[in-house]
Amino acid sequence: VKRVRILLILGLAVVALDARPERRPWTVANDDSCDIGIAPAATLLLPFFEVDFDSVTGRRNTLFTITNTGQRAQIARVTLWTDFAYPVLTFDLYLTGYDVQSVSLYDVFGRGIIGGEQGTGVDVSPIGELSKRNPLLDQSGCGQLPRRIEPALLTQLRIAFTKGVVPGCPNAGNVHQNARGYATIDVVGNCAPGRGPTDSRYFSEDIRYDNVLMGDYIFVDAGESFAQASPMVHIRALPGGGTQATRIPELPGALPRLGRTFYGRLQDPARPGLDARQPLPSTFAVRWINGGTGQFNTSLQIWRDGLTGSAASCADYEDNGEILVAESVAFDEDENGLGSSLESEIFIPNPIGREPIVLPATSNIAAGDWDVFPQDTFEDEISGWVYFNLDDGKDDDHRGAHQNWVVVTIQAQGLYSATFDAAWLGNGCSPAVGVTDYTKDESTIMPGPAEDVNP
Amino acid sequence: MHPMQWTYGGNAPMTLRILLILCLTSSLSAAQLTNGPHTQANDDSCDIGIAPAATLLLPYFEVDVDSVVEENTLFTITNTGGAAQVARVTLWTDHAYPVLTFDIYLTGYDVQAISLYDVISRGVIGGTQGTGVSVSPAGEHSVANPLLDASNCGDLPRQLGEPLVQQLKQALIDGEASGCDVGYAHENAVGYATIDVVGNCAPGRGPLDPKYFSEDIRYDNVLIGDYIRLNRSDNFAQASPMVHIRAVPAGGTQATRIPELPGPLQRLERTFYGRLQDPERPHLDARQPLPSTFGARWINGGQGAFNTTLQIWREGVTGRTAACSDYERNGRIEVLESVAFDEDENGYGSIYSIIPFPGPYLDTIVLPATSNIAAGDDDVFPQESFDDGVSGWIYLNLDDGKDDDGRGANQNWVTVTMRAEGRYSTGLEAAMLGNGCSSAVALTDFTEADSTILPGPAEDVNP
Repeated sequence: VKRVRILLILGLAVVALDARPERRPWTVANDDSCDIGIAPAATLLLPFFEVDFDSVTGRRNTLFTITNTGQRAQIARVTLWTDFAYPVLTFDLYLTGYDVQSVSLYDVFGRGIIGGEQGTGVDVSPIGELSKRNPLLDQSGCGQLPRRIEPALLTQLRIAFTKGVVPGCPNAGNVHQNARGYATIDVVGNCAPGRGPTDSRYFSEDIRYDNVLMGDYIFVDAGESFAQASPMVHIRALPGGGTQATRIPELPGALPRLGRTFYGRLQDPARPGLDARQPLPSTFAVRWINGGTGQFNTSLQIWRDGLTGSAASCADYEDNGEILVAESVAFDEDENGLGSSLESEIFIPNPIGREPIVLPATSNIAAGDWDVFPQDTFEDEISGWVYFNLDDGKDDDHRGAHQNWVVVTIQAQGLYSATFDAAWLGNGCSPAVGVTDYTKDESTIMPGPAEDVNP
Repeated sequence: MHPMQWTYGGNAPMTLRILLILCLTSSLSAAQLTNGPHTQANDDSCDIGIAPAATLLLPYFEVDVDSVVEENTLFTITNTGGAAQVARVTLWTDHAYPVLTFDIYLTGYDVQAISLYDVISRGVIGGTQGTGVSVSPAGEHSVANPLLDASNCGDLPRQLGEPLVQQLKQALIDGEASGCDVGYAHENAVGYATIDVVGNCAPGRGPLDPKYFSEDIRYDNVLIGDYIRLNRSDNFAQASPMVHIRAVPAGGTQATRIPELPGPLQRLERTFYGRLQDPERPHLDARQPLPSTFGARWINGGQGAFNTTLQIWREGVTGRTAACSDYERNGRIEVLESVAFDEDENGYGSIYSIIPFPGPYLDTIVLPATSNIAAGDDDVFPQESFDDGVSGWIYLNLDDGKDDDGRGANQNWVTVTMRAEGRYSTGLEAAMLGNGCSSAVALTDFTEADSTILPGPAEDVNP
């Protein structure tokens, strides 16, 4: 009887705790919500990079830096993806405790150097007196990690990111003058440099859950004397820590993990959510300013989750170059909004948006680029903001809203340049948002912040 | 068997069994803790992200009031909602002394840009047209806000009187107001700004006024904002999002939100405006608290002639009834610890750290409520790392090491500015190592082999 009573009291206490939501946040813990913040993470996303590898000085270059904020050694696996979300190169960086590693993508593309001149590895990385080993790490292949890309592979790398062609697949990316793509950096538990996120063992064996990495990137245009820096997107594992073996195994039904995850599309359907990474949002608000006496010029770097799964064929990757955009609404400084949507007939006023608007997995788009933003606002006005619903308007894979990230770059007078992240209007666990509907006076489908409570 | 000696699944009374099952089912949600996040909702955690918020913090501004082409700071706020809002802007000195409070009326989906040069040098607020119900253009998709008392919002003041402009300059440049030291003396005007969603227009009523939190402040998470620091003579510009501080939970008014209750149903243990709250209603602002520990990257010297500075905002230590003379305390808020790591992962602690200790720095390290500090400034970062190395990162424990007011760790925010070759300049936020609900972190202790008090991310679970 006593045991039952205790159980009952405990249960009632849980019920009482469950009754709290109106009084305080559900969680005050770290690594316990879907909110993306600049906090140590298990995955870093560099949403867009550009490198002019032909220029000796690296006229356009992107550099990123990652820091292990923890005392124990970690392995960060870097994957470079084309703008069709095709993973081309994967390499490991060994980080001792409290380590910092900077990577110039000009060095990677232009000189074939990864991990700096010395490279990284158990045998070569300096160890600070405060650094410790990581007992959960399999360091057997980490002695001296590769620091040179073979000439043949380097040529393939350059072609992949400028011509969109990889061996056996001519549809791996768009054609660009400079190398363009995005990068992911994951905490992993071993050194297997060639094994990337489309490999079946990546999530079942390699990936780890320690939220310890912080990172930033700098885009440098030496010709224009422009530099812009931003934190990388810090994507935390929920909950943090452990290995595949020590984390609570998947259970059906009552104990679901996150409804969708950052790497959801690449997961084994039998074990979805094994990456446990926070998902990214689908709706954003972005300020813009063009022209005027300051000769302003706003561009947006937009990252989008690919559509293809881990078993995609070469031909499938073309789909990642044309991912639908559900809607954008451009507001001017007088708060007049003009929309462009997949279902433009319900938008009032509706002078535009007859053709579906598409964007690849990563791009750098001028605010006012007619192919993406057909609104007259950008022609007629100087500034305002854009509401972005970057969902693709479908839910083919039942994984909810499409994931995205948006960064804003504002340049002025040919002298100034600055970059910052756009605001997300709902976190990555928010459901997909419908196209705005101004035809109803009481419409609830309007641009704006997401509801407090996600389903 | 005695009638009451049943076991689960046995012959227990039906109501008791149902109750038990209900309780155990409910327990499953607690068990999810170990599997998924505790919350998937928005505005429901202590995590600071760039999401629509009820308060925006511009952590550091600097303005050369004599020249628009020298140092200036501009900020822009956007109302991402369709309903009108009033944003109340307060400018504070680097001793957290509120100098000027004014309102900006925002129609639905409105954007307002403010040049602080215009405000501090010319006394112009809200742009040349000003803002207000009578003057702000309303877009066709903007709607009225039924929770807004717009009776005094017709045409908000847009030009400050000359005496007030002089007082403003005196406070932000000379650090003087009402015969007291309310800031440090600077060549330029230096301070920070807060922007709150409020429910009425009462431009002079700032966060020290008792009515600010009991009547004015609102909880709609709708504002986004960014700021740009501009130096035209050096051709430098750095932009960052403002700090987006959400009300948790969002929405409603003081009257419609559930009243404060004692005991287990307290709101956030501490809040952004906690120090200015009425002790009888301690969490009425309901704003997320800011963190106390940060990781910031630094790079100095080298071939690129790099130069890193940190803009550090710190919560003041004075309450809302502080005397003018008390504000001096906000100019000397203690820093518990910094540990500077070089690229070889060697870490050097500042004065209080147990080991390794860089040298005979006997003074306590202090920083004001806002400052722009060079990484390597000996008075703040005495570590040899900055002299001997080129780059690395800094662990900052910006708590003051005290808990005089029982509100936990001191709140802070850190941004990083890097310049190179005299022609590149960038700004970005430092990483927070725990959220604002995390406990205060003690000094690192490297003397114990298994010490858990080390630089690094905070524990997953806060107390």
